[in-house]
Amino acid sequence: MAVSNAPEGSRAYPGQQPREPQKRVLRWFQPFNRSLGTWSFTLNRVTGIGLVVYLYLHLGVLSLLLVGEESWDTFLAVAKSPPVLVMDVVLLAGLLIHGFNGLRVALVGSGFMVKQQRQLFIGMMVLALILLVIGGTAVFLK
Amino acid sequence: MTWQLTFKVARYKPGEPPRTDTFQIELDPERTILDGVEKIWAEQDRTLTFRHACHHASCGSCAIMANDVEVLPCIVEVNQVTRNGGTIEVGPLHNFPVVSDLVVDMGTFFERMQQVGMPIIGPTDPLDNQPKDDFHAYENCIECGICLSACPVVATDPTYLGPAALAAAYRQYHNSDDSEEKQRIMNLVDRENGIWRCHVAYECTAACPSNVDPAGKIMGLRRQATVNRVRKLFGLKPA
Repeated sequence: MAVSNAPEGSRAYPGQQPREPQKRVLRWFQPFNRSLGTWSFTLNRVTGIGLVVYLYLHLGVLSLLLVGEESWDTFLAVAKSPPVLVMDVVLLAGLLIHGFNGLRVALVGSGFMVKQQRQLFIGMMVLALILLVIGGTAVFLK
Repeated sequence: MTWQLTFKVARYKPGEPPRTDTFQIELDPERTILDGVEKIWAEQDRTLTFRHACHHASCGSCAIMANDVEVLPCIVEVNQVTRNGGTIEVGPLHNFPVVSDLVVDMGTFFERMQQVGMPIIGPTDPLDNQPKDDFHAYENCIECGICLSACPVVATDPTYLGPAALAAAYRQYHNSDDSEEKQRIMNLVDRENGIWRCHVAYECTAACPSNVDPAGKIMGLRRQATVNRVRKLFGLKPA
């Protein structure tokens, strides 16, 4: 059978000329008219970026410890306010969605439950929702 | 009965900025999107460039975007995407260089199919080398490029081999009895911009008009690559 002598992977798809490269990344966040799989892809990117932002925010907040006890106590008072508790629930949602969706990607990506990947995504998200309700309730009750 | 339709067509000619042209046409609702594009070309704008051949989803040459979804316009009736008085937006496939208007350059796509040992027209294949049952789905691939256009990873990583070539690689790997050929294919796909670049969005499988299931094939190759690596740890030959 004829085989090309072209170097492996040497030539890239040059992209769509009228569309600027920076606009192509927007495809990650356009799941509309797409299948459930693209929704999971988009969810993982949004939550992934959100968690990275949170990580740096978290490190910034922890640095208040270096400033002194008073600034830390002031932060704790703010952290217990309802708007920040809502943000905690959003953080929990991000963690659960990214974690469970990541588990699905790892399973399917390793060749397990390939034919059931759609049901697996739905199941994982239902599980994430149940844990979010439990966790969210706990955040506000404590 | 005919419908009044508005076609918004993405236009691009080398050296000119891209633009969108609007055409009003009358069309039977059971006619296809391709019929509409041909009518525009025939009656209103002879400079409109598009590609087509078989008109029955066999050649894959006419694939375009219609209302932001990849379609074979030769088999999608206008009543499936709009209503009387509605609008159909058509444009070239994503993730390919545009040659002119609705025509994209498929050169790299075909080159990669050839790299995995799946030339579009093989001199002795497939008639005298019928694939095993498990690979029949791949034989339905019409090389339309829709899977690449739909893939969100190809959008940002042009070096990614892409669903069609990887599905072809799966078919070639399992259909070959030649251990050297198997190793060559595995070397080609078992790398960062091969099977491991896929992010399991399954959009290629959802968009494929021929039910090839490229994503399922990519996962199959991953499993095979993992098995081969484990076997290598124990000094065994690849399966």
